[in-house]
Amino acid sequence: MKRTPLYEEHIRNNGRMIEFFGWELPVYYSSIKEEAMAIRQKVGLFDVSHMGEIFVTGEDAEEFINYIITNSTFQKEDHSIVYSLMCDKKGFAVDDLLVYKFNKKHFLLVVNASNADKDHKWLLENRKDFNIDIQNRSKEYALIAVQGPRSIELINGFFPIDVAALKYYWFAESTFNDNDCLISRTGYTGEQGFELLIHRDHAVRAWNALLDKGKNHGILPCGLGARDLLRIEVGFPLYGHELNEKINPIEANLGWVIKLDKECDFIGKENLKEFKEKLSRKRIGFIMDRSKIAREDSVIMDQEEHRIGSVTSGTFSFCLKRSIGMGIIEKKYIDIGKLKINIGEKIFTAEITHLPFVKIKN
Amino acid sequence: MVEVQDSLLYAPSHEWIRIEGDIGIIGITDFAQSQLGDIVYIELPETDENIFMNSAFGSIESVKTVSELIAPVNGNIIETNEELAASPELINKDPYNNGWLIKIKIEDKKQIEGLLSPGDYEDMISGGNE
Repeated sequence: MKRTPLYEEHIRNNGRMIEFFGWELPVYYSSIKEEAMAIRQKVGLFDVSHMGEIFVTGEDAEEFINYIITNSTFQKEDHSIVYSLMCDKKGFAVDDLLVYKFNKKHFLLVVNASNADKDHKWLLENRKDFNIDIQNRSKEYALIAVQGPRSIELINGFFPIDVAALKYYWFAESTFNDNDCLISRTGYTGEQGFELLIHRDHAVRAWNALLDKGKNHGILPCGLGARDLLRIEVGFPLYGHELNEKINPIEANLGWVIKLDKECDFIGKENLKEFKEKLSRKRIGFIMDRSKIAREDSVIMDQEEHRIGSVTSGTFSFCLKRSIGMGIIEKKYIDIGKLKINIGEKIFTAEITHLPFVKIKN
Repeated sequence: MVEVQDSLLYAPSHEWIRIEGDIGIIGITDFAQSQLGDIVYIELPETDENIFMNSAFGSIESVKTVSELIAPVNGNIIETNEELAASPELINKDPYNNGWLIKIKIEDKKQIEGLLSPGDYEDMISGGNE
């Protein structure tokens, strides 16, 4: 199994290690509840070094990136970040990713760990005769997410630049303990926060420096359990759950990152256009009447118990004290309000609700 | 370290039972709650239902997983812990006292003899013979 540069630190912090797409990572250290609450109320750290980093550079880098992704970077300034999908010719997502634009000849793609090798291959297969260089440098980097309302207070001072001035979805090239890094105003929790991309050799020092200073702020190291819970609370999709080879991007409510009218053609465009016109299913959020968790693939039904869709993610929100979940249902039912969900041969009731479940004041 | 209480008997499926005459009080062990993590939902039978040794009588759910509750002995339920519906975290905080699950009238006291002593249970969870 693969280990991140922070593996030893996870063991030292009593991380409960599990396998996650071939990586050995902590699902939690103390408790999912405490970790999730630390991020909602104070600050927490995630090791997300398993994520992939693929660099695209060269004369045609911007043209190539925009041929690959569904969103657009053309109007974006240098050092901005774009959330996007890259789709196959049928219009289904190969992955969702963050596109860091250094300048129009230099991009970084931060991709899901589960897809990093597939994505790299996909880029190589579709490079055509674009004048570019593609490098999968995932093994060289560590990625540390600092998330929560106290994250700015915590990390300001570590950098020679004013990190508080970074706007949401922007990044800066800076240094951490005199080592080169990228610091971005991004995250997967809905909270204020940053992600620090640093060479793997410097990861342990950075992690421990943040944990150490964070003690005064009530920091906790947080595992994959809290990460999944927090992203569900704010209604973020996760590749492989809300978005996969059976759920198209429009159904997943990601139409906003598909720019059909951008300056160039892109892979999947024709089918995505069709998906938009003939939309038959939608992603919804629901709150359970009881605290039973609706697990993925549980069948969603209307009041007459006809199947209308299925659950894509479910969890228990400790800050709402309710079980919540997301699912894909037939579009004509999105206003029915009450649902029945079949979980382990028993039927539970739930109510459709607007996403996000938890609204963050930033 | 997880706690194993001296005054209880244990099942290999991580339930404990406190024997008070013909009455048994059943819960899950500190080890079990620590493995499950934060408990959010619990399903228990109704009063007056019967439970049967080595069969599931309910389920317990954390964010990570759902786990069956297995009866250590046969019995008839005389009381269930009603506080758990609103506060399932009692099982995490206090598995041997306020986090108890059900109270039963034990049907056959001979079945108790097959349960694990505190020492045997401790050996089991510390990696001995599972």
